[in-house]
Amino acid sequence: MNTSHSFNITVRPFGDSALLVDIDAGNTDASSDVVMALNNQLVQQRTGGLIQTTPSYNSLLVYFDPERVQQSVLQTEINTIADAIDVKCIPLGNQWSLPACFDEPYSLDRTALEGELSTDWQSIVDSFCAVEYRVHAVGFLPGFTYLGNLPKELHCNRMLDPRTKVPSSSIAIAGTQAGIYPFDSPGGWRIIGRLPFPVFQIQADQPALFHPNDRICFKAVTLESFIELEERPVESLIQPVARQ
Amino acid sequence: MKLQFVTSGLRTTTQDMGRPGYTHMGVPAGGALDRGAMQYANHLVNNALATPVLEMTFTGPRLICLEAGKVALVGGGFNLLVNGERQAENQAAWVCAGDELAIKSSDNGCRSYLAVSGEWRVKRWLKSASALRVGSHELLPEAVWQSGDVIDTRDTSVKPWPSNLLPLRPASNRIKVFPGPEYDWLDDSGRTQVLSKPITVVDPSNRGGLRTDTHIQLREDKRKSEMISSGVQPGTVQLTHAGQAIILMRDAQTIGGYPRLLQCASQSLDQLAQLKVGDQLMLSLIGS
Repeated sequence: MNTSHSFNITVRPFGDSALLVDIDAGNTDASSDVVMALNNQLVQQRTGGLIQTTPSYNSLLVYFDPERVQQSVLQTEINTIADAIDVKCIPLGNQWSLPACFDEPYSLDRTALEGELSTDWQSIVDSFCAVEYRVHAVGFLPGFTYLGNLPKELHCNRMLDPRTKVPSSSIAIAGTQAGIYPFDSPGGWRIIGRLPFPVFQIQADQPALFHPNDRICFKAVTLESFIELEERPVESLIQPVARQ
Repeated sequence: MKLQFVTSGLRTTTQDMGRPGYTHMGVPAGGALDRGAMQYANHLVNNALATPVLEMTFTGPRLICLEAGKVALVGGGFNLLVNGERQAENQAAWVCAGDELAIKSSDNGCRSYLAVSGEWRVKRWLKSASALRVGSHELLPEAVWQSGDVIDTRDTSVKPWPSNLLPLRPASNRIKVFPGPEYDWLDDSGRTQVLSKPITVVDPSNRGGLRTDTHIQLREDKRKSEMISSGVQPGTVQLTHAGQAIILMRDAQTIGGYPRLLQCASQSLDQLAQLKVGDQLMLSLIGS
């Protein structure tokens, strides 16, 4: 335990060209803070031989080129960066307030969830829109956005029989998490609504709209507004409220 | 040079060294699965080694040459025929306008690479010309070739590479592995099962991963453990809840929730690229 920074860190080889960093800061949010701070620092200082990183919840996968940097040298460097992290001033990602429609025909699992959670749809939507979500990871599919901080009353089971086609931009919940589907794809999460714009744009230089450490709030809109929003240029809808 | 597809083959794609740098947004680096074969093919036609190539699996294309140049086929599973005549393996062939090229399946190996001399004029996404399919979605549809399409390259005068630059590795089904982050979730009997026996590749296996016929059990106290999703890489050997080991390949997802038992040595990825359904492999722990 690094007593001055109150988190545990282990940095270990994961094959011959990657290191896996695991962080334990007591809870997921605190661990995620450290992962993001470490990732930012590592990427910003353009560490020699670093190829790419995958932050996810309480871990950071660091790919490196063994011809350009020794595993043990990078391992030491990561520990040095971690030592200097001040958990009290972790940079935030972008903050977003997103219009979303939770009505038919986008609320595919409405009936099932009303049954499982023993409550009515309006309460479910109100609960979902009442909190700010944190992007813990982007992966599984390019642009698939994992959101943490789902209110306890919305924790639910995955579908026993996953759908073969979840429509793109669907908002979903499963277990203790929420997520956004970037493409039409198979999936077993419960679908509660949809965003009126794509979250992964292939033509863009930065195709994924959301990044780990971003914060997202959802604002319920009517079907009429949703249809109107869908026709607006994407850029006018998806500016972050606050940029990093 | 210019080559036109008469037929496209089952799935003929453009591949290069992939697009490293985007795993934080869930985009796998991808690229040619057998890097050694891809680079050797480029070397044979005097291209820069990272020049795009065609990657072919199962059924190859037929092409007609519209403008002369050099081609070379390297890898497993295919032979190159020019005007019906089989070409020597691992050598470049000059082809002229009007020549017909056929890339025919043979029985060993799985993937072959056709290098075409010159600089490829192809669409790139995130600095790579490599095809990437996610589910049924093609992220760079232009990298999947159809009949009628034309490969168009601009001739460049790249200096010949020294001929001893890239010895091709002999084919081998012995895959070197390191212990993975959750290796200690296996007890001795689980380790024996995954490391001391030949494993067979089963369907569905593709550029995302090789599935295997294994039924491996985790240590008793870990059987009900749920993992927090964490990074995976090409060559990671994951174990599903059903006990099936899956070896992730270059187009695999970037994070996963299954225990990561082993990690294949980077050099083994090329060998894995040549394994098809029904083939056997042996995972062997480095240093043992």
